[in-house]
Amino acid sequence: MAKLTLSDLKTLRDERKQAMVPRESDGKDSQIIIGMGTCGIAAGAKLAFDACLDEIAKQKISTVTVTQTGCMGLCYSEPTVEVQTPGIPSIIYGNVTPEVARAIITEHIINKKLINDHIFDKPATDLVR
Amino acid sequence: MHAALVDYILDLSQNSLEAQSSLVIVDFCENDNKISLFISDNGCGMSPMVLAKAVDPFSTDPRKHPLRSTGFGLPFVKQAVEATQGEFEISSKEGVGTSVKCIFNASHPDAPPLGDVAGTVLTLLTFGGTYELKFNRTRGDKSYSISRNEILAELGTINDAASLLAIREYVQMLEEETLL
Repeated sequence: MAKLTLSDLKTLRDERKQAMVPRESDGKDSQIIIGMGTCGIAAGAKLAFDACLDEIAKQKISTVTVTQTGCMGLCYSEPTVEVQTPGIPSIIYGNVTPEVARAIITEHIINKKLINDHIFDKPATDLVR
Repeated sequence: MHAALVDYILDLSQNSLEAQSSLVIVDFCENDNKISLFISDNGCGMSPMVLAKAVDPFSTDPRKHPLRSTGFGLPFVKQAVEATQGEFEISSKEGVGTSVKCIFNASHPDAPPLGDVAGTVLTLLTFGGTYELKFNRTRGDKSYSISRNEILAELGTINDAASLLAIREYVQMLEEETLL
């Protein structure tokens, strides 16, 4: 096989994009921020990251961006994932196993339902004032 | 200590970016019985005093989290390298940058497994902010290079789901080619 080039990468991306049909319900972007400090990696943040990506591909949602950050200061509950989605206050989930990561996509982002057992922080800044 | 060798790459690159680097270069080579890892950046660098503390497992820097003790993760890497009777070197200059050199002895029983290279490269590219990251991978006589700016120029964005998936697939294919 010839050596892969950047244009192959673009083709791959465009194929992926075409396979993802934007849902009518989510016109705006959701953002998933995964804590990948030393503590996060050690606790399996990369598994959560991969699970998120896989589930996004499976559910074919194109309006989600995934970024990472360092330690959020919640090392005891790593891996931690912050989810910002339109209509729901920003939520931090803790102890995010790959199963929880998948639930974040299917429940939180698609069905707009919180995963109660894993909420750690930040539900209140714009509710309590 | 991390479970896989690639986790140290992530850890050290994150240090570089937190030191306000606009350029991080990662050289990752596997040759014969050696796994060499060089990471250099153009970040804020460290004074000789801070540098001496950086590899001390009992030192902390309170700036990031004022009420907790956090280090740079460097003592972990040093310990992992030295456990394989390898070489560890770090040099740094204030205002110029830092470079870390780790040579693992791959045939040593304490050598950590490589881990998921493609997944790590993907995470290296997805830190927030603007920075250039070059990942140069060599395995025997095969090699490939990845530049964050080149990918950004080609795709326009990195953090949307389609791009992330495509980049992971792309790096996985490049990585597999080095195995052939």
